[in-house]
Amino acid sequence: MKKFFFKLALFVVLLATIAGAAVLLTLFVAPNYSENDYMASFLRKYGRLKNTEPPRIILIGGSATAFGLDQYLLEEMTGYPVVNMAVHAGLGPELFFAPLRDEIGPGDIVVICFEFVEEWGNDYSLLLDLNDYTFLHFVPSSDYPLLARLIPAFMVKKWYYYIKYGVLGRKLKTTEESPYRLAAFDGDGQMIYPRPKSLLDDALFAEMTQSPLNTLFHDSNIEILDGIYREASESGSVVLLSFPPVLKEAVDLDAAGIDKEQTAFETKLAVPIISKISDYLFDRELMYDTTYHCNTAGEKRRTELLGRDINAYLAAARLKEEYATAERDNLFPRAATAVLERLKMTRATRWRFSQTP
Amino acid sequence: MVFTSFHYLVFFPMVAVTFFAIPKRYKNLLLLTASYYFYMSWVPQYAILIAFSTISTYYAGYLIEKSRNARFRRVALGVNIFINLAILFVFKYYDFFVQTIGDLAQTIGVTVAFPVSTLLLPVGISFYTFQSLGYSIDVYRRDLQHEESFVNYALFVSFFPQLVAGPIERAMNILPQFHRFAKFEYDRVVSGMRVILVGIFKKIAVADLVAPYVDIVYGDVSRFGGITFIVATILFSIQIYCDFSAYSDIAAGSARVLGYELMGNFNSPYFATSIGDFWSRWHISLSTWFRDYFYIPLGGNRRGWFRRHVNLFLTFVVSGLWHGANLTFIVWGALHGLYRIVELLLGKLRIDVFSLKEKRPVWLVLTRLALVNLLVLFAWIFFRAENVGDSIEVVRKVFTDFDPKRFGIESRDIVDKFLGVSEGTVRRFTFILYALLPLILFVFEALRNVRTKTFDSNAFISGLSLVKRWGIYIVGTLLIGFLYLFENGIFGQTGQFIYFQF
Repeated sequence: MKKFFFKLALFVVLLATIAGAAVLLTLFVAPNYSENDYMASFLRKYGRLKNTEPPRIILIGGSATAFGLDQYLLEEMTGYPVVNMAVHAGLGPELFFAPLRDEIGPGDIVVICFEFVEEWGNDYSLLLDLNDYTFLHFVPSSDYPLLARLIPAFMVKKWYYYIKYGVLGRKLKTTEESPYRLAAFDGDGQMIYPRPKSLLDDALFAEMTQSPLNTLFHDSNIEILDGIYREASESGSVVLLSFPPVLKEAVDLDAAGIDKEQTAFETKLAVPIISKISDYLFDRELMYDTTYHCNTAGEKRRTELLGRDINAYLAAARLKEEYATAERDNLFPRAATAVLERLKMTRATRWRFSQTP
Repeated sequence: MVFTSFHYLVFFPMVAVTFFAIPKRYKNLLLLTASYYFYMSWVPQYAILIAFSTISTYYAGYLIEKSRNARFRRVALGVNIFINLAILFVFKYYDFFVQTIGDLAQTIGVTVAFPVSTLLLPVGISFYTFQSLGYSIDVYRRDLQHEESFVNYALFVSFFPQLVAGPIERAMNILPQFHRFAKFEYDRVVSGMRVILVGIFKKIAVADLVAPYVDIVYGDVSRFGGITFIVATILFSIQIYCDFSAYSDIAAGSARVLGYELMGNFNSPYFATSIGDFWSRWHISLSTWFRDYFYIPLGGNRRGWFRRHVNLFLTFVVSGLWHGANLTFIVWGALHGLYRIVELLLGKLRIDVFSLKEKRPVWLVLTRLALVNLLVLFAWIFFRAENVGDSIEVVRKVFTDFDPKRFGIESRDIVDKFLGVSEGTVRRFTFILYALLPLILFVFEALRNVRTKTFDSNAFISGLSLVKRWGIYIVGTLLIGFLYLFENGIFGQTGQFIYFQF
């Protein structure tokens, strides 16, 4: 029996050594052919987050906000430095928010712009594909088994790329003209790739069968949104919910129907909503290549809408604060008259006022 | 507790080490406790059923053996058969039965509403019920002496390696082994582990790999074209063989480590050159059970030409029904029954033409092999489909909807669907695995069949040098680990063994 256990132990040690070596070799020694990929923009965005101080506007979400936001224009409109952390919807809420945990502070405004996904998941393979393993510490320890299961597929991809590009010398896709590469972003993670017109012809549109809004109002999403709201609020940040731009043709509901759904959704949610989904339904000429991706004109339009919504919220919040101060300092009715004067707002602003906490 | 789970990876070594460490008199009690723990890891309450079946069959065996009154013995056997089949009927067939009666009544305009049972099907119920029945019939026939030790008998019914998916052991084979206690023997233990490794390879590297494709295609029969169904059915034939024979391998290997030899259950069934040959290679423990306890008592081939074929057909239909409470299984069994009858009828012609030749020509062997596999594949459609309507739709598409271009698009979509992403690299890798891994298995099976007398994979590996042998172990284990993680990461959980549901 001794002989058996000795050999078994030897076998296990050999196996673990070979498997461990193969994984380490893949992670750290195999050449990285993803460093110029689209996902690598996440590193630049994260760099900007670390290099700016509160108060800031930080946007989290998927590619709809990566393609659909001019952060410099938003800075001009709001007066806040803007960090656009949005990159890929597949990252999911946990990975959208995790990089912010140690960075956000009092005065920061976190704007959530998640895509309409029935049940958000966290695709850790996107983190592995970054080939920058510092991001792996954002993975909660409860998900380590899930991460381990992704390693074989990652190994396959990495060695496949090595054979394809390193050994066979094929041309890297990332060197082609496309917004899906790192070069499409500037050093602050702002997309700068020119998208002058829509690529959405009828043939491409026909392939898109999804109707995104049908999946928005799922109960599990409410829990996730409120979780982020609670956690960020504890650090003194303000959390607001806005919506991504969506191709109008892809949506089944009309504007009135969407407003009705949104109103029902709002009653269940703690996080303040600053935008109306129906404002962000764009025609084809403002979109680029999918139901979520804006072209340059769409990007500008979306930024203007979002800037308007954020400003309206901030104005309403300031008003409320003034009102509360006046009430506290017993300045009525003089202060109340002044406040009422300033309440000559548009219908949209009045609506947003109701959303402030 | 699935054989390919972490739970079993901990459970089995613990049982094995304890088994060899404790005194002889406690060994069977340990195995019995471990077997009940193993079984209760599914639905603990169903241990009551197996315990009840065990107690009733044990006492039936006792009464049958002790009595000299032929009528009493017959009654005792009848009561025991009734109790076991009643349990099986209530838990497995009741809903099917009342639904069929209801449907038939509906066709003549009468509405009959029976209460529907909400009972879960106990895992492995068909296996241990048949094993118990076999025991009581053997005692009745005086082919076997009643087992005096209740622990040994209870262990025979519940022995964990073969409890939930066979092989359906014969008391004559396994009960005497429970009286002998094997010592730890290095060569035997390693040989058992080798068989386990082969089983795990078949399950994880082949069966679980192809399962998602089959599930998606057969899950929506209206969506896919004929070629996709042909491919899915071929993949299903690979899946079910690798899945079921993997279970038998792991069962046999686990038992061998502990010092017990289970009966063989598979012998390269897709290399059969006739339907009769197929059934002597596929699920051998079930086909021989039906032969000994159903076909022969019906009269077998002793009651004339007509009764022989009727008995044969009935045996196949009932063996189909054994697999599950669904018309699809009955049709599957009936098809095999028909194949076998036609084969017997044509057999006379075949003998006339070829019997004079000592060695059959290769072209003839290959033609018969292809024909048998086509027939078996056709029958698998009925076995896999959710209902008879779906099977007929699949058959219609296989013969009428033949668009290779559509197949290409559908296959890409199917693979993308179970990968969860449209990732070209991983998709291509999956296609390579689909082609490569069944091919490796095919080569091994072919070697075993072409060189039957000289090729035994276990003996082959043990005959290699240390470096080569360990190379195979390490590469095989790494490949299994890699694919296990790959399938879990991409597909979600690795599947249960198909035959658990029977």
